[in-house]
Parts: sequence; structure tokens; C-alpha cells
Amino acid sequence: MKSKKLVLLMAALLVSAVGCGNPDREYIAYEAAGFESVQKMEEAVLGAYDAKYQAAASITDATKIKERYQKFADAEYSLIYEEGIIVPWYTASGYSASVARTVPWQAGRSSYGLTADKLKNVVVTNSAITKAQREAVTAAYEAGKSATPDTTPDKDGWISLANAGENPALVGNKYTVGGQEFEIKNEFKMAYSSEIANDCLNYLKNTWTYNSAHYTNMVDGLVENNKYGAIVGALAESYKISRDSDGNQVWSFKLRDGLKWVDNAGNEKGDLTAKDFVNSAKYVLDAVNASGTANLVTGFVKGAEAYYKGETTDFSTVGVKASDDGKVISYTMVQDCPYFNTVLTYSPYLPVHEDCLKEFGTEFGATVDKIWVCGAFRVTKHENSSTIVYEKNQSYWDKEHVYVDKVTQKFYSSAVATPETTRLWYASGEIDSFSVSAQDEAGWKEYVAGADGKGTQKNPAHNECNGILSVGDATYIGYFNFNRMTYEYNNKDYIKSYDDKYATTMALLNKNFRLAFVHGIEVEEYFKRLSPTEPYNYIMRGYTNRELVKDEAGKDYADYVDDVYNQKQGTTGVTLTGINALKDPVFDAAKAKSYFEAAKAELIAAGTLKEKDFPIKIDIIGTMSVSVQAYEKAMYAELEEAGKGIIELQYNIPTSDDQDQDWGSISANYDFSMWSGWGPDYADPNTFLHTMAIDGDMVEMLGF
Amino acid sequence: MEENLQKENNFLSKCKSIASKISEGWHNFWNKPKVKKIVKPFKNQTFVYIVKRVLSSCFTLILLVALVALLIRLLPETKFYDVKHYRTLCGKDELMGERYRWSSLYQYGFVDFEGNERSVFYSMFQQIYYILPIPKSIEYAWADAYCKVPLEGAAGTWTGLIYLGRSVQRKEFITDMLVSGMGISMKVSLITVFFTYLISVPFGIAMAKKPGGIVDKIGNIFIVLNYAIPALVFYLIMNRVLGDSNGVFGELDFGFFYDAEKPWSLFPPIFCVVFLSIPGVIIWIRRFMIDELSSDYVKFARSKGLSENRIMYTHVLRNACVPLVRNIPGTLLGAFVGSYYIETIWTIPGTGRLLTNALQTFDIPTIQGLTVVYAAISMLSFLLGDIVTVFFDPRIKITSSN
Repeated sequence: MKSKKLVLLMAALLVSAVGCGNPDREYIAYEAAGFESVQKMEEAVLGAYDAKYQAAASITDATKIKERYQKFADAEYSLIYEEGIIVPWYTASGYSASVARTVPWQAGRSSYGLTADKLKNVVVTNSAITKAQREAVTAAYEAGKSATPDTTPDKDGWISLANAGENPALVGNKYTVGGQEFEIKNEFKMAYSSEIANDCLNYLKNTWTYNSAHYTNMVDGLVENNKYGAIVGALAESYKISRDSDGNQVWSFKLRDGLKWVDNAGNEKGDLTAKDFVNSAKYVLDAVNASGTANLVTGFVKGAEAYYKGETTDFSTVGVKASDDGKVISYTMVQDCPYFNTVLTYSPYLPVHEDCLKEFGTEFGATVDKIWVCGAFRVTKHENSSTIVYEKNQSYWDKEHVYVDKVTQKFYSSAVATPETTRLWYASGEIDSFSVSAQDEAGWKEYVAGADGKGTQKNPAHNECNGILSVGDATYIGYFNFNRMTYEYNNKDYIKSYDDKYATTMALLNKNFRLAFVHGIEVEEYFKRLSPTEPYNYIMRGYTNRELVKDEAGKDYADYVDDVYNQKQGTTGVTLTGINALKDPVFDAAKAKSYFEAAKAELIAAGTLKEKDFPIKIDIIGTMSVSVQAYEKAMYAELEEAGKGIIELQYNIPTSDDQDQDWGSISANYDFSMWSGWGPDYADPNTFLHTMAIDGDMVEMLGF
Repeated sequence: MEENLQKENNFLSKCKSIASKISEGWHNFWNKPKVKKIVKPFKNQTFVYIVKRVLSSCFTLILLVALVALLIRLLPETKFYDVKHYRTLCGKDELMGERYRWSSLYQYGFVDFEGNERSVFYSMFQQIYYILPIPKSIEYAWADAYCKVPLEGAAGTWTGLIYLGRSVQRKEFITDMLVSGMGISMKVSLITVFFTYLISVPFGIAMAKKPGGIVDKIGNIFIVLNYAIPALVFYLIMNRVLGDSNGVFGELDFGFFYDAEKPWSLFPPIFCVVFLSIPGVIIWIRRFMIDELSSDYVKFARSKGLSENRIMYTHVLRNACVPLVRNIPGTLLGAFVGSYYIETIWTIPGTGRLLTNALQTFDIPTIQGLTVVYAAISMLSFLLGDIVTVFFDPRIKITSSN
């Protein structure tokens, strides 16, 4: 009896052990896919694109711009529509209905750098700008576009950085432009929603916009952008490009006379000389200072990377030199770089005085009394999470073009703000401009749609509401996680087995599978959330944004990409980045279906996957917000339909903001994600296309 | 024999005389007028009680500080510095990386800034040392990121008695943050408490005079409706309605935000808090008054011919107030902790927001410092409440069972 029971027991154990199969063994994506290392996988996925990219990036001759852009355009097209590595979909561009008591078109414009947050050219009026006034000012703006600066070098070879599109000066308290005379107020009121924190005002370390929005008004760099987006001199008045004895390109800038540092209380602290730029380079390149923007220096300046890595401790090997008289600062390039002047608009290239660093040490920039000012405004009051007040800096080199004496910023918590909040504040005089939100029903009806409901964001109904065209600067893209390392689920039903993970990895490595995503996501459904009537305003199907660069003939780089697309796809007139495309040129459900079927056929024919591996489970980080979930579902609906039986989307919803950020940016807990983007750092397509090259800035998001 | 006895007797009597001299001297000493003056307060029961309470509160605070320090030490140290940057620096120069790590961790007690690892007990004792009122100087800013040479004078070294920590987010000392915000928070709190009681007390009495009467019925309806209003919704609505320059109250120019140059812009937040606090106080007043009104001394006073009002206000109120006044110090000091919504919606730069903001931004030193401060404030308000009760009600004495 006993022995029988024992045998039965043993049999049961054996069966259960076999039946359970192997316990989940550790899954390493690149190994399972048959690559020796992550680098090999990266080369296999990005190799074709990288070759095209390198061919373009290696053209550094300033006379071969057209060829360079053409090759970049080929690489960009290949990245998206041949290799299917990324799915560009959204840019915050388009028309917004704005009601403002500020004269339009006067401030510096740029999609890169710190110019966008500068308030030096803000002109505040007593009453709202009407349509007629805006038209007149716009006409004057367009007329002034053709004014080209004088680029003939003077007798020493210096080229002037004077602003050909300079704003007029005030006459009394009247500002005249486009034949319109505006009576101005000298105080500007606005609201801000993120407080100064973390690195605070230490501009040599900081990467956060909520800090840079403030110090860009306190500290000027060598150059800035004028209202046409052109680079003009700020602290520098002229520049020249030359070669040193080793044949390296050298950019030199001559500073203006009489530049001074003051502190935020207004006391004069010292003179601003070329040495201040060497000081800031030294601070940024000293690795212990943990500067977040060091790569903007090491990528361009000769010898910077070696010094930063600690290979040398001799700073004289770094290509940043000040002349003895303190008037000229020179930067030696790693390789020829025709767009270096646009890189200079960034934080690590702002000057700092050595006495300032000595006085404050590690506390530099911690609070408003621990920073010196050479820009348009001094911060005279900072009450945390309440108020920030700027006052005009009377020692500023350009003070005659600063039209306000005081800027008052009030803090509002995004937790308590509602869509109508800014409209009510504007009406009460607490702020001087706002954009009508699509969720603010009353405001939308009053300002945009009008009584007959016919108004649009481009042409709002109300006389004081203007459709402002903003060119999107950041492009949001969808991307795949080829080498996924984290698998966390909040929903037990989604947990993947080893075979599931393998199936996903192999499917993602298939080009057709990825191209199905490129063509199958109906992004307009999501944009209806932002604008129910004009969702097409936000569509972005190229990577590099429009109006970033133009060639010598004035052709925008984005047009090059459009030409390649039209030629290869056999279409005409399609633009990937234009906002005049009233529908999405890329979305095509039938195409997506055929790509999916081709992918499935290939995978089965090669023996990689079997019929039982389909549908392939694709994890997406779902949105936590219940109101947005409906739009998200609508966006993916056609994709799911096209891929029926082939893919199954799993919406993995995080439980907190922290988890959302962790999954999306740090641990990469997804197979496909659409929630990240890239903005330009300087005026060249390289700033975007470098991100996806081998060892590029964004390949971490792909799992490499 | 007799000689021995006599010798013994002499010895004994000598001892006795010495003993009596000592006790006399002892007695005389304690009866000296100067000494009596010093000792007198110690005989006062209240004084002894207060001293005992303060000492036990201090002891509790020290335990609390040690506990919080322990909890912080239990966190993984990688939460306090950028691990990626640390690894990059270590790759270049091991010492550089380590110095970066020390400069981020020393203020939590994981290491000291020479780099020596410190135990949990060291952290606990360090924090206790910081809050004890001993003059101390603590370095907080250095000439460069290597943490070797502190900046000169006050720019680099903090000197003072009680050190509560330095906020990582705002780069300010906790003591400074509290001092700068305290003024406005206390002002709001005082005015709120004053008006709450000013309005609630007569109303509560009116309701208590005739339970079930018309005033009582109306009051009850008001209380129930008032309780039903969610606080945040009420604040947002009032902010919108009262602040709108183009609205009904536009003439009064309250504005949507608190403006230091317009003191009447404080009216909307104060009105909101008072309005929502009134029912709580009314209920207690009414209840205690009704309890008192049914007691014998009231019947006696009535039979003696005293007017109702005199009974109410002079005698009954005094007794009914006893349970109420013990809450007043707590409410006053509660502005430090509790007015998060008010301060966020009207952007009042007070102290009510500090702890919640610190928790959201994971600002550990602030959380540490504020926990200690709020605990101290709670204990202080309990103590004050008890003392006020004693003064108010002669029946309650702080004596031992004698």
C-alpha cells in the first residue's frame, strides 16, 4: 500500500514538473535575437541609416550646403519611411487664438536656444490689440524681412553683427510700428507655473526651462536671435572666421565697449571682459561641477572633450582663448562648423566673472542675490511659489530697446488652474495676454467661434483675438524598444512569457512590421483633443522642424525632405512639415494592413516565428488620465484593426506620475512609446538626425 | 563600668548634638529669605507641572528627531545623487566621483565630508546635536565643488543655536523659510480665529437659548449645508467670484491673488476659512451651553431672579468655554501646517505650503526640519491649551491627589 502511494506521489510530481515547463528564464533581448552584443544589434538596426547620416554629416564645407542638406534629407527619409525606426507625429505648432495687450512680432524668435523666453523686447499696450492693428504690424514685419545685414568685412576682417531688423525706440510713451501708434504701459504682467528649483539660477549647470526662462533675462550671451530668427550680436558686436596654424577653424568675437556686471540689487560689480567667457568654459568643463550642458561644449570646441574626461589638466589645450586686452574671445573648432554661432545662444556659453564665482562658490546661482547680471533685467523680488519681479537694468547695453521697466510674474499651481483661469486673469488685468483653450467652452465661443460658430483658430471671430502661427520646435516621435530590459506590469493579464518576449523582439526587428506602425496610427484622432475643428494643425510627419535652416537660395531644409518623399512615394505636393496640409498624408490603413501581412509572411517563411506566436503582444504605456484615454484608443483603433490577428496592443497604465516617468524615460518599460520628443539645439539638421545615429543622443530610448 | 558607660554617654550625646546642629543648620538654610524666594516657584504646582511637561516634550522631540534620521538612513543612498553622473566621474577619476558622492550625501549623515562612512547612530546623534540649543557652526557652501575650503564668514558657515537643515530645492535654511513665511501665516490665522469666534459664539448662544426653536432650526440647516460644501470647491468658487474685477464684487478690487500692497486682497481667503470654520465652533458652543443650562446652578440663578442674558453671558458661557479654549492655541498654530489650499490658490507666501511642497519635490532636509518644527508646535499647543484651561476653570487644578 505504502509503496503504491509513494509511486503515485512521485509520478504526480514528475508530471507537474514537466507540465509546468521551464520556469521563466531570464530574457536578454539581443542574445535571444542571436546577436553577440548590444552594439551588434544596434549596428544591425541603425546601420543603414547611420551610413547615410555619416555621408551627410561629413560634408562640412560651407560652400556645399545644398549637397549637405540633400544628403541629410535622404538620410531623414530613410530613417522614417524606409527603415521605420521612428514614427514622427506631433509638433506643438499651428495656430493658437491669442488675446493680448502686447504688440506682436517685436520679440526675438527662435526654435532653439534661450531666445524664446527673453522679455527684453516686450511692448505692453493699454488695450488689446485688434485685428486691424495686428495686420498693420504684420505687414511692416513682412516688409522688414528683406532687410539684409551688411556682411562685408571691415579692414581687419571683422563682420558686423548689427541687427538689420532692429525695433524702433520709444518716443515719450509711444511706440510706432507699421503706421500704428501704440500708447504703452511700462509694466508687464504674466503668470508662471513652475518655480525655480534644483540647479536654480546656476546657468552653467542647469538644463531646466523653468530656470532658464529667468536667467536668460539676467545674463546675455555673445549673440541672440532677432525677430526674424537671424543671429545678431548681443554682447558681441562683430565676428570673424579664420584658420589657426594647424588649419582648424577659429571663430572670434569682438565684444562691445563699456559692458558691466551688476548684482540684482543694482550695485555695480565689475567689467565684463573676454576672460569671463573663458571662466565659464572652465567651470563647465570641470567634470566635478556636474554641468548638464557640457556636451554642447565638448562636441564643438577643440580639446574640450580631453579636458572634460580628465586626460589633461592643462586648460590651455582647450580652444577657448581671450585676447590680452579682454576685447576678443576665440573658439577653436573640433571640425569645421558653419552653424557654430547658433550654438552660442545656449547656457554654457554665457559669461561669468571670476569674482562672482569666488564670492559664491558652490552657492552660485542658488538664490537671486547670488548671481551677477549683465542682461536686460534684474530680479528684485522672488517670493517662492508666489511672485517674481524683474526691474530694468539701467546698465544694460541695449536698454533703449527694453520697453518695460517692470515685469511682475505671479505663480499659479497647475493643480488648481482650470481652462478658463488665464482668460479670467486677463480680463481682470492680472496678466497681459493669454491663449484661448479648446477646453474653455465659454471663452472659445466668445473669442474663437463667435456667435455664428464659424470662427477658427486661424481666423477667430472676436476683433481682439488673433490667430498666431507658432512654429513648433519640438518634434514628438514614436519609437520601438529593440533591446527591452524591464518588464513591469500593473495588470497581471499582460504578463509576457519568454516566448511572447521573443516573438515581440523578432517582430520589431522586421522592417515591414515597423513601417505598418508608421502608416497605421491615426494621429488626427488624438489631436481632436487639442482642437476639435482643426486637428491637422499639429501633424508632423518629418523629424527636423520647418524654419530651422534655409540654404543660400532661401529654400527651407524641410522642403528638401518633402522633395525626397514626393519623389520616392510617387506623390506630388505632399508636405511632411507644413501646416497647410489639411489632412495627414502618411496615415493609410490599407497600407498598414499590407505591411503587417508582409511582415507576418516574412517571419513565418524564415522560420523565425510560427503561426502560434501571433498575435504579437505590444506593450504601450497607457495614459493615466481617464479623459485622454478615449482619444488614445481612437488613435490606435485603425492600427489594431489593420493588425487584427497579427498584433495585440496592451495598454500598460502606470499608477502614479513617478512610475509614468520612470517607465517612459528611465527604465524604458515599453515596446512602443510615443511620448518623447526632441527639440533643436542649433540651426542645422544635424541636431535632430544625430539623435538616432549609432551612439546618438536618443538611442537609449531604443534600448541601446 | 561606670566610667565606660559615661564615656559612651558622652560619645552618644556628642553625636546627638552634632546631628541636631546639622539639622538646625539645614533647617535654617532653607528658611533663609533669599533661599525661600528661589525655592518658592518650585513649590508652585503649576510651575512644576509646566516644567515637567516641557521636559517630557523635549524628550519626545529628541526621540522623534532620532527616528526621522533613522528613517532617512534606511532610504537607498542612490536617491540623493545622480548615479549616472557619479559613474561617469568615477570612470574619469575615482576620487572625483567619490567627492561628488560625498558632497551630496554628507548633509544626510551617510558620510561626513572627509569621506568617512558614518553609522546610523552617528546620523541620529548628529541630528539631535543640531536641534539642541548649543551654539554651533555648520559649513554649507564651499569655494568649489571639492568641498575642501568653505567660503568665508556667513557665506559659507552657518552659526547659531538650533539648526533645522537646508532645503535642497530652494537653497534656503529652514529657519529662514519659516521666519519669512510666519508673519503672513500668523496674521491670517489670528484674524481667522478672531472672526470665527466673534461670529460663532453669539450665534451658538442664540441657538442654545431655545433648543428646538426657530433660531435653532435655521442654525441647524445652515450647519448641515455648510458641512456639505467641499472645502476646495468652495475656495475655488470664491476665488473666481470675489476676485473677478468685472464681476459683482469688482468694485472692491480683491483680485485673484494676494498682493502685499493691497491688504484687503486677504479678505477672500479669510472669508472662506471663517465661513467653513463657523459650524464647527457653533456646534460645540451650543452643545456645551445646553449641557450647562440644565444644571442646578442655573435653576438656582433663575429662581434668584437673574436675567437670562446675565446668566448666559456671565456664568454659563464661562463654564462652557472651558473645553473650547483649550483648542484655541492649537488652531492658531495650525496655520503653520494646515492652510495648503488657501496658500496655493491665492499664492500667499506663507508656511502652510512648505511641507506638502517638500514632499512632492522629495526635498528630504526640509521634510526633516519641518517634521521637528511641527511636532514641537503640536506639543506647545497642547501645553498651552492645558494651561489656558487651568486659568479659565478654577475647578481644574494641576495637583497630585492631595
